[in-house]
Amino acid sequence: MSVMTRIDKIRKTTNWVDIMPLATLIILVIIMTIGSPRFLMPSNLLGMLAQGSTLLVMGLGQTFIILMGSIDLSIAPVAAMSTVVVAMLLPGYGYLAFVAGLLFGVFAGALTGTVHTKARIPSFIASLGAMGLWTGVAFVITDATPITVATEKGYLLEWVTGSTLGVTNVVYIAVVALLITYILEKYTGFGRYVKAIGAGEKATKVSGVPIDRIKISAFILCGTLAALSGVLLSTKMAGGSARMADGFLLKAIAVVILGGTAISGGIGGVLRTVIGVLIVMVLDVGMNMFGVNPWFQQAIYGGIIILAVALTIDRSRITIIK
Amino acid sequence: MTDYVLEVRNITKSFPGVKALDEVDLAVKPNEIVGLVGENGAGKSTLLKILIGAYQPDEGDLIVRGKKVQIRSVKEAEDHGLAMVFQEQSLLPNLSVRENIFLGNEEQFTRFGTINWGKMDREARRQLEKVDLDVNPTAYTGDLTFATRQMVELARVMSLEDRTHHAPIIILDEPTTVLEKNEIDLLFERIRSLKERASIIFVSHHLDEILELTDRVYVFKDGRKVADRVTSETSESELHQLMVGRELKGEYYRQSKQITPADQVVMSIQGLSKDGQYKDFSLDLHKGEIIGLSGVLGSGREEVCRTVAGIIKPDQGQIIINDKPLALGSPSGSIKSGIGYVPQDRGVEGLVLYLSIGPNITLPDLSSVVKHGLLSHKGERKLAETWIDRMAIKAPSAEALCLNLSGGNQQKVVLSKWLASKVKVFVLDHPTRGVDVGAKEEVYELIRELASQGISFLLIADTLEETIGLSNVILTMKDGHITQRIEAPGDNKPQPVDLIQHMM
Repeated sequence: MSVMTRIDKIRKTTNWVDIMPLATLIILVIIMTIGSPRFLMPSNLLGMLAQGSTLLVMGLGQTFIILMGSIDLSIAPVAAMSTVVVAMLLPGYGYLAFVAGLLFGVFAGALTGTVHTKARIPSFIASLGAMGLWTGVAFVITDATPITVATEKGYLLEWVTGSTLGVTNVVYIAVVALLITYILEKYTGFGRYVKAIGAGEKATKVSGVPIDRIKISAFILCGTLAALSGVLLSTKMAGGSARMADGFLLKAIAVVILGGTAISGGIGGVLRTVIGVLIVMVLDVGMNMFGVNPWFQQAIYGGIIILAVALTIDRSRITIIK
Repeated sequence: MTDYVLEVRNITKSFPGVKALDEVDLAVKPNEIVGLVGENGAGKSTLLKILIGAYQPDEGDLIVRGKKVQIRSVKEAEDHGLAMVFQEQSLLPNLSVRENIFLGNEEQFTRFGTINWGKMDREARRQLEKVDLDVNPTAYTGDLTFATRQMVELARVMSLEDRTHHAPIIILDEPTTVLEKNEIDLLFERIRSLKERASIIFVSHHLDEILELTDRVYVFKDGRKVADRVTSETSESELHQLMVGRELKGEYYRQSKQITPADQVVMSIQGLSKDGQYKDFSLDLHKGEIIGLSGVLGSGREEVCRTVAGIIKPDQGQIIINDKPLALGSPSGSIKSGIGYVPQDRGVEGLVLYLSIGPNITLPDLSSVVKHGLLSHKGERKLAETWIDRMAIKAPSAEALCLNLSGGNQQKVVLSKWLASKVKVFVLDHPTRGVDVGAKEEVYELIRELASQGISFLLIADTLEETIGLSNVILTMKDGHITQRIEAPGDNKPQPVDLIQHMM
């Protein structure tokens, strides 16, 4: 009897957490539609999708890290560094600059992942250190001055900024990233092991899974996607700067958690992050519509992260909160 | 009015799939030492956890000094004068003795938010005197010996006397496990003197200690209280009989199905050594053979098993499996060589509890469910269903999280995991721990069946009886060395005493 109530309880809470993000999104959309009939107009929705694409790309990488029960705080500076790399190399090397930007992301991810696993340093600290490192490096090599891509080189940016069938290409790029990460998560050993590590690292290790290799791979994926979002930013802004991704860290973590990926690891996925991005996009539009001070919006996202974790976390799995 | 300080009435406690306690009674009189004995899984620790508020009973009452109480936390237990001296100790090594004694109860020394250390010192000394311990209250607990720390814990518990104005009820959980003989004598002397001002529940595996120290003794078995005796009127053999209570069922371990192993050596361990854990350990494991390792805590048997599983890297020696040396110190190396490890801590190392059965089974080897380079969820579910069927795993559905399975069924998933990756050698570390009696027999049955199919086992059993019952050969260990090799054929099993003399 009591056993069954316990199991039922577990089932119920899971369902609730599963439904909540989508329910939140629908409720927000309803509120927005009532508030402004223009909200559901295609042009407005497409604008939001384009806005959300960069954030989604960054959030997809973070999803894998949080699924493992880790965190990567270095994604915004990695994206910023990538904009700098792109903007600096674009005049001389053309499209290769984008490749260099992505390669930087691979390197940054590998570095954080290696420090985290091999030196046995919590990911929180390893990526916090990386955050400081890349912020500093980006400021030094740009001399704290934004780099602008000359107008005559603008044609190099069109593969992102241009449109196909009336939709900006950035949306297609984000969809491709989503597809690839979805396949990685759902249909490969890598995705399975990432979840298994988050749900029970010791048992996963005893089953012979190469834990360190999987963790480093996840950090490389996250770094690369952060760099890709940097690439998208640099084309949109036609330049690069150490501050270009300011404010993205908070949002990129918010989209993962708002989507319903558990901060304690093991539960969640990239599709949930899509929901999280949509929630954040609607909130963004809504806050602007209701005239919330743009500077204060960061504070609201800070509060939302804490609220989302408080509502979704399974406290029975965590005996001590540090 | 009752003359008991503590009464446990009809306490029942269930966990998913296991009834840990079934209408248990227990009573303690003032100034009495009550013994509590039972095998692993008999329900002793569940009862202790209920007494200190770590678990809530499903049914039944706790009555302290005639009043029905609810104990929801260690703090509330202490408010009723109930406290436990833990087997693995609960003092914080980075704090001083005085801070440990009054941890959580500093308010009596606190004025305007700061602590009066002098007063705490004096009070700490007073508590230490109760256990006749001469140690500086400002010493760091981490610098003391294990036996001294245990005395400090006793002093900490005795401080409840002043807080609650009642004689404390002290629970001692296997306090002698890691003590030397003279330390045990000293501990017993202190316990006897504390009896003047406290009641004591004494839990031990060692029946001789129970007979020496206690006034009355309760025997638990399979979650039930099977007997209580006045200590002076019982004997070691009677208690043992009550605890085990299955001498009559000679077939419990399926001895008649025990096979004579083939001559072919499957795994040969040669001169394995690890500093401080085991030394010069060698054995030959034959096809279909079950070798039991028997020894007390610290004998090194667990470390040997974890080395074979690839979790510990030895300093010296080698393991030859299928005529090839094993890559030591990596779980994946051991798994690739056909070794499957069934760990003691099933929920942590055996299974990913928050994954369902299929993903747990495919964790060591996904290849069987990969189609065209992609993981087939349908294939994985089919595989899960196959094993649920073959191993008679009772699960709500193939998608159920392993968290929601009973201990016995979880263990079957662990075994399925390794069988699916076609292991040839099983390392079983307490395979029936936390498993129901009925399910235990299923596990035994399964082990016999696998052995007859040519799979070999290295076994650490939960009890001596289990070691003897299951093994073809028993190696006794002490201080990291093999002390004796004892044959245990199905029709001529040795007695526990034959082993114990080589373990102590």
